[in-house]
Amino acid sequence: MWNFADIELRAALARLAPGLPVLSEEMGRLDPAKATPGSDLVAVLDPIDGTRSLIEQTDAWHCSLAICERGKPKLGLVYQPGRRATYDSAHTKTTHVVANNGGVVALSASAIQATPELVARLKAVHLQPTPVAHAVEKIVSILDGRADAAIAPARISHPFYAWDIAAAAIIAEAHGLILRSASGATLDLGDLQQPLYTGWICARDEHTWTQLRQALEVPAA
Amino acid sequence: MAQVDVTLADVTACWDRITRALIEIVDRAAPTSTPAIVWTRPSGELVTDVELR
Repeated sequence: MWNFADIELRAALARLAPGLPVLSEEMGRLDPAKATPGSDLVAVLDPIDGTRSLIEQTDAWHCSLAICERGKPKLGLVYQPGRRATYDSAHTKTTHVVANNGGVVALSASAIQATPELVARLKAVHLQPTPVAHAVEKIVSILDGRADAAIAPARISHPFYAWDIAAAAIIAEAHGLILRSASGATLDLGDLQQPLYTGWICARDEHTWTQLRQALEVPAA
Repeated sequence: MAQVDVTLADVTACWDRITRALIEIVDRAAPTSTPAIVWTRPSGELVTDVELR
């Protein structure tokens, strides 16, 4: 069924934007440079992002599409069928960022379990970790007002791919959220197919971002 | 191989139509029953029977 959706989505892109190369997670990884020499533009399609959420029958799975130019996301679209919610980098006025202001921090359930020190440091500054699955869901939870911020701590065993986050990253930027690597550097999504081992933090404001950055720092012994 | 002529401006101009097409296709493909895990990729990512149908 999702292969069918992938094929249909590719066909729609071919009809609406002829010649646009498409990278799709479901149908295999292509090297955009090899597939389209001279092209700076590529569509990054993930027909189903959050497979575990789909299996568990939660609404936390999406279809995402990013248009990247020289590896940098320029347009992003995330559609959440369960909630019939659309997040679009091109329509920031219709996707209102809902304020939560409760100090809620989206963190994966496994990270909450694996990093009790981080959880304790967050709670010490009155930030409340809440389990939220995968990267896209973490970022849209801030747009929805279910969280004020999100953290993905760096873990060697759990790298992520730039193409997993490309659509959400440009949507976050368009809506004024602050998304940076945990070191404070710009999140480098230049190579869409290379695993990234850096952690990242997304927050609705600089103050919250800084609080999370400090919580991630391991205190000197 | 053919040179790609499509530009970011071209894609931006039809972005709303791309959005509508994506929503329509995904709504049509959305599963009505709970999928089962049939395979785990080396990366740890799960593949379900829904994806393989």
